[in-house]
Amino acid sequence: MADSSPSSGAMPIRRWLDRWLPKLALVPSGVALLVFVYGFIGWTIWLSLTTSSLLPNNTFAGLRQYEVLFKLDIWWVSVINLAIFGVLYVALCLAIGLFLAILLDQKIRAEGWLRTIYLYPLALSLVVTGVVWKWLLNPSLGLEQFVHALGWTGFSFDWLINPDMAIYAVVIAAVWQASGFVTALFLAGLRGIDSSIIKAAQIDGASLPRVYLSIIIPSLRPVFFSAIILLVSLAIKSFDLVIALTGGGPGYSTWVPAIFMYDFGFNRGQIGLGAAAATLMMAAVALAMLPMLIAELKGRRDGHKN
Amino acid sequence: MAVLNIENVSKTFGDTRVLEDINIAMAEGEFLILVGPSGCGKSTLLNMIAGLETITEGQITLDGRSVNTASPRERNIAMVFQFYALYPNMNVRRNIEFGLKMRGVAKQERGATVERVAKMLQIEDLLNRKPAQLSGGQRQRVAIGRALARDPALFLFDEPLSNLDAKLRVEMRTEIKQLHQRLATAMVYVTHDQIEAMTLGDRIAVMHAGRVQQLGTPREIYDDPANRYVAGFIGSPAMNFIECELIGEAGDTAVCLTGATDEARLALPSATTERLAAHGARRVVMGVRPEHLVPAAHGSAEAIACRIDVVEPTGPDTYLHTEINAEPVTARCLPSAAPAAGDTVALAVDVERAVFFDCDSEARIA
Amino acid sequence: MATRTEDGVARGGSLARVLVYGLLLLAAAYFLLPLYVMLTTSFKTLGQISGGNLFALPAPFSLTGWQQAWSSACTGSDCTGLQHYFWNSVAFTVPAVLLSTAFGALNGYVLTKWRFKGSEIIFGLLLVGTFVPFQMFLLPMARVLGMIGLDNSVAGLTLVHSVYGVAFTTLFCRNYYVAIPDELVKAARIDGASFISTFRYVILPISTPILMVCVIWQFTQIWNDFLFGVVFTSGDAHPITVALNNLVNTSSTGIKRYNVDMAGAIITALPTLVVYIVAGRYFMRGLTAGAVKG
Repeated sequence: MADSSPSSGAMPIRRWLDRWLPKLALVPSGVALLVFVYGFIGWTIWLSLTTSSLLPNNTFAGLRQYEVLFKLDIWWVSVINLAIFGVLYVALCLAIGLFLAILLDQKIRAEGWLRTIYLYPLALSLVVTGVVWKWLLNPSLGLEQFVHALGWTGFSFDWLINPDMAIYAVVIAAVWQASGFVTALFLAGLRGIDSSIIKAAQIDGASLPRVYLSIIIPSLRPVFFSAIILLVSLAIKSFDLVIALTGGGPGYSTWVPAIFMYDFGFNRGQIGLGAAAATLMMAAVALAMLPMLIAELKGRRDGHKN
Repeated sequence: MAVLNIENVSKTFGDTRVLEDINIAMAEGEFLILVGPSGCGKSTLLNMIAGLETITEGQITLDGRSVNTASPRERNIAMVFQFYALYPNMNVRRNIEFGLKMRGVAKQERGATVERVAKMLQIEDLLNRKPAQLSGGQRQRVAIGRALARDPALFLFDEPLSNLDAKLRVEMRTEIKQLHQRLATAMVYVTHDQIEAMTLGDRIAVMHAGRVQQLGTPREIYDDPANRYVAGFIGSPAMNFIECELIGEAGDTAVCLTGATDEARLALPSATTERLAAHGARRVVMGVRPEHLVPAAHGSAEAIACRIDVVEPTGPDTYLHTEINAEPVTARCLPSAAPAAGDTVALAVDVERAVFFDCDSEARIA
Repeated sequence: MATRTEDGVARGGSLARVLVYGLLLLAAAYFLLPLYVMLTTSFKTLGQISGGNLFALPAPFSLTGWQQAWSSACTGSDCTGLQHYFWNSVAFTVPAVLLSTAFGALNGYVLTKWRFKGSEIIFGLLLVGTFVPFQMFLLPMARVLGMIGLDNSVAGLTLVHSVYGVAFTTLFCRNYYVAIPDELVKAARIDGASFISTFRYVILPISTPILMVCVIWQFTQIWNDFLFGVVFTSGDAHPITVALNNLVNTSSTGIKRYNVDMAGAIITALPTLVVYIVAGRYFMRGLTAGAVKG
C-alpha cells in the first residue's frame, strides 16, 4: 500500500497537518478569547483608571474615577437597590423552588406538564417579562382595578409608581421568571438521592417531614450552592428587566449598577465612571464565584487521583 | 528480520517515568504477550507501538524501518481495543470497511474484504446491525474483524477480553489463538490476566513498575522465573514464598523448615547448593509452587508435619492451606486423598523444582 | 394512614395528596397567569381594556392589536411596527447561532480528544470568561465595532453574539465529548482517519444531542438579548427586544394601547416559546449543564 512508505513526498505534509491542525483549530477561538474577553477586561480596567469622559483617553488618573463614583448618591442608590433585589430574589427563588420541587417529587401524575409550565418563563426575553408585569401591576388598569371590581375598593397597589416600593415590583417579576428554573434544579437534585436512604429512615421510624428536614434537604447542599451562585450572578447582571419594567424609575429609584454603567458609559459621556462601575460589577461576581471556583479546582485535583 | 523491534525505549509523562529501557525484538508470526498489573506501563508501550503515544527515548522499528515519528496511519498495524471502540453511528459493515475507506480502497474491493472477514468470523448475518444491537461477544468479534480487514503486518490487542464474562472470555481466547494460527501474522497482546498470557503467548514479557521483568516462553517464565515478582505474578494459586535459614557447607546445604511441630531439614541438590554458596547469604526466600508441595509418601524422612487450616476443593485438585516457617502456604493434593481441616499432614517439597531469591533484592539466586 | 407507593416510600394520606395537587395547580396558575393575560389582552379592543376586567376573555375578538404591533405601531419616531426588527433579529440570530455552535463543537473536540500542553489552561480561561459580566466588554467593544465599521449593524451584532456565545457552546460540547471514550478516536486514527475525517465521520454523527442543546441555548440567549442590542445599535438596526421596549414606551397619542403592547410582547416571545415547547428536553439540559454537578 502507498501509505506504508513514509519517505514518499506527501507524508511530511500530512504529518505536519496531523500535528498542527488541532492547535490551528483552536486559534480563532483562542484569539477571540484573548482579545474580546481578557483584552477587553484589561481595557475596561484601564479606562477606569483614566480621565476618560466623553471620549476615551489614556491620561492616567489613578483611582480618581472610583473616588468620584463613591461620592455619587446615585451609585449608592444602585448598590442598595441591588442588595435589596439580590437578597429577596435569591431567597424567594430558593424558597419557592425548593417547595415546588419537593411537592413535585411526590409521584405526581402530571409532573411533565407541570414542569413544562413552571419553566417556560425562562424561555422568554426579560423585556417581555417586564412588559407583561408592567401591565399586570399597572395601578389603574391591572390587578388593582381587578380587585376594586371585586368590591374591595380600598385596595391599593401602586408599587410601580411608588419610589419606595418599585424595586419590590422588580423582585416580583424576576422571581416569577426564575423560580421555575430553581425548581428544576432542585428536582434534579432530589432525583439523585438514593431512595433506599429514605426507606431506611422510615423503617427507623422517621416521619416524612422529618426525613425531608434532616436527611433530604441537607443532602441538597451542592444544589443550593450552584443555585445561589447562578442567581447571584444573574442578579448582579440584571438590566433588561428593570429597563422594561420601570425604566429605572420613578426617578432613579430602581437603578441598579448595570443601569448606572450603561447610562454613565453611553448616555452621559462618563466613560471612566462607566468603566469603574463595570469593574466593580466584575469584582462582585468574582467574589460570588470564588467559593465555586475553589470547589471546582479541588474537585478536579481529587478527580486526577483516581 | 524482526517484525517489531523495541530498542532502549523509555517514556516520561511530566516528571513520572512510566517506562524504563524496554528492549523487545519480535519475530515474524510471533504471538507476544505484555502482561502485568494495571499501571505497569504495558498499555502505554502498546500505544507507543501504535503511534498513539510519543517515544521519549529509544527507537521502535516496524519491518526494519524506524517509526518513531510516524503517525498511526503510516504504520502497517491494526488494533483491537478493550472497550471495542466500534463507531456507534456506523453499522457493522461500515465499521469493518472504515479503515479501507480512509486509505482510499475502492468500494468494490472493500465489499469483497468485508465479506471475506465476516465469513472468517461468522458475523455475516450481523453486517447491517449497529453496534448497540450487538452483544459483548459479537462486538468484540466485529472489532477483530475491523482489524483483520486491513491485513496489517502487526496486530495489537489491548486487553480485548477483559469486558467479557468468564465463559465467553475462555471461548474468545481459543478463537484468537486459532485466528493467530491461521493468519500467522505477528500479534502483540496486552493483558493483566496471567492465564491469558500463559495460554496465548509464544513469548511473554512480564512487566512491573515500567520495566520488563522477564521476557521468555511461557515455560521459561513459569519454571524459571527471573525474580520473585515474576514468580509470584505467574501461576494460580500463587507460588509459596518461605523465608528460611541455610545450614551446612557448600556442596552439602540444607534448609530448615518448620511446620506444626518439629523442624525438618531438606537437603538441596548440588547444583542449587553451589549457586547458593556463590551468593553467600545464609537467609534466603525459597519459592515452591503448590504442585511441588504435596502430601509425602509414607515414611519419607524429609516430610514436614503441617496442620491443615482450610481445605479448598476446586474439582481436579484440592488445595490445602497451612503454615511453614510461620508463613501461609498452599499445598496441592488429589481430591481422593484430601485430609480434613484440622488434620496434621506430612508434606514433601520437590526441592529439584524449588527456586531461591535474595531476601532484600528479590532477585533469583538459585 | 400513610400510603405506600410502588417505590416503597411511605407518603401522606389522601387528604395530603389533595393538598399537594392543590398547591401544585395554584403554582401552575401563578406561572400561567401572565401568559393568559398577555394573550387575552392582545385580542381585546382598547375599549374593553379600559372598561373591563383584566381576566375577562376578549369580546369582541379583535386582531387590531396584532396588526398594529406587526406593521404600524410606533417604536420611537418610526411607525412601521415590529416586523422590520423581527427580521433584524432573525438576520443576526441565525448566523450567530450557527457560527458559535460550529466553533464550540470544534473546540470541544480538540479540548477533549487532541489535548496538548496548555489546552487545559485555554479551557480554564474560557470557563472563567463565561462568568464575567458583559458590562466589562461594552465600552471596548463599542470602540472596536466603530473602528472596523460594524457599529450599528446586524453584522456587528452577529460578531458580538458569536464571540461571546462560543464560550458557552465550547463548555457544553467539551462536557459532552469528555464522556465519549478516547478509544474511539484512537481506533479512527489507527484506521487512518485524519484530524478532520475523525471529526467528520466519527464524532459529528454522534453529536446530535449536544448540537441541539447548543443551538437551542444559543438561539434563546441571542434572540432574547437586550443589552448588546441597545448598546451597539440604534434606530433601524435594533433587534426586536429593543424595538419592543421602544414600542411600549412610545405613546404617540397619549393613550397606552395595551393590546398592541401585549401582541408585540407575544411576537417577540413566540420564536423562543415555540422552540421551548418543541424541544424543551434539550433546553433543560442546556440550563442544567454545568449548573448541577454530580
